[in-house]
Amino acid sequence: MGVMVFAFSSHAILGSDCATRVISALPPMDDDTRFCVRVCLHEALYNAALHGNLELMDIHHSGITKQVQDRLDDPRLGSRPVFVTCDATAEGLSIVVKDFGDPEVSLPTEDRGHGVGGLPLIRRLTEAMSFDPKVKELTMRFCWKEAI
Amino acid sequence: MSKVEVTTQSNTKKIALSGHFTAMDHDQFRGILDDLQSGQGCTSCTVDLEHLDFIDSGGLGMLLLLRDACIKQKMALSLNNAKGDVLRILDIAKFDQLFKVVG
Repeated sequence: MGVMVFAFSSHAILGSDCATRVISALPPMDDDTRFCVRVCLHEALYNAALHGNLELMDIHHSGITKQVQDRLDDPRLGSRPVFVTCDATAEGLSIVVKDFGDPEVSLPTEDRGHGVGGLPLIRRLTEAMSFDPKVKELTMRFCWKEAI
Repeated sequence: MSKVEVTTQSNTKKIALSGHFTAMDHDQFRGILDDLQSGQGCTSCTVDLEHLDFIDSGGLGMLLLLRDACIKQKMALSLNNAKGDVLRILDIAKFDQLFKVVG
């Protein structure tokens, strides 16, 4: 229990399973909570990398792979980290995902229709979530389904 | 990234996904959508999810694009053999209301 801080590059987030790496460092949790944390953390990390640090608004178009690579190769955008701060208590788990994108570039909040989108999924799987665009921090709270 | 395999049997296009299907697979999947829209006489399309371990909102979005393409081509579409976390994510997204989901 306690606070743990992780730092990832956008390149690492988009090229490996950073969500599982974070979860493996957290206290053991029940399967249901693990599923929710994994899905939400993955969505939050991808949002932070793609829409935050790399400032990509639309990712559903042809040529997105090259556009992502070009921005990862751009020293101004590609060097921005994503910080993950996890605070596990007896009551539950709080995770804050912070990116370093331009606060003036807003994160897409609308889903892609039918409730499909990163933030709608996070909203459904967390006890509470909030995003502060000024400091580029997404906060997610989970309650343990079973005592740990 | 996901591995995507496409085969055609009779009049059915079969798309098999494995690994992690995420937003980073968009370009690869776009090619399949373009192929579908060119029309090759297929009347149905199945997506085999048996070996898919994870799908995110980007992957769900691509399945919606596939659904749009199949409606346009008047092709039947089903999502087959989803299990574990993938099946749960499809349930959370209420994809059973949009797709024929076959166990």
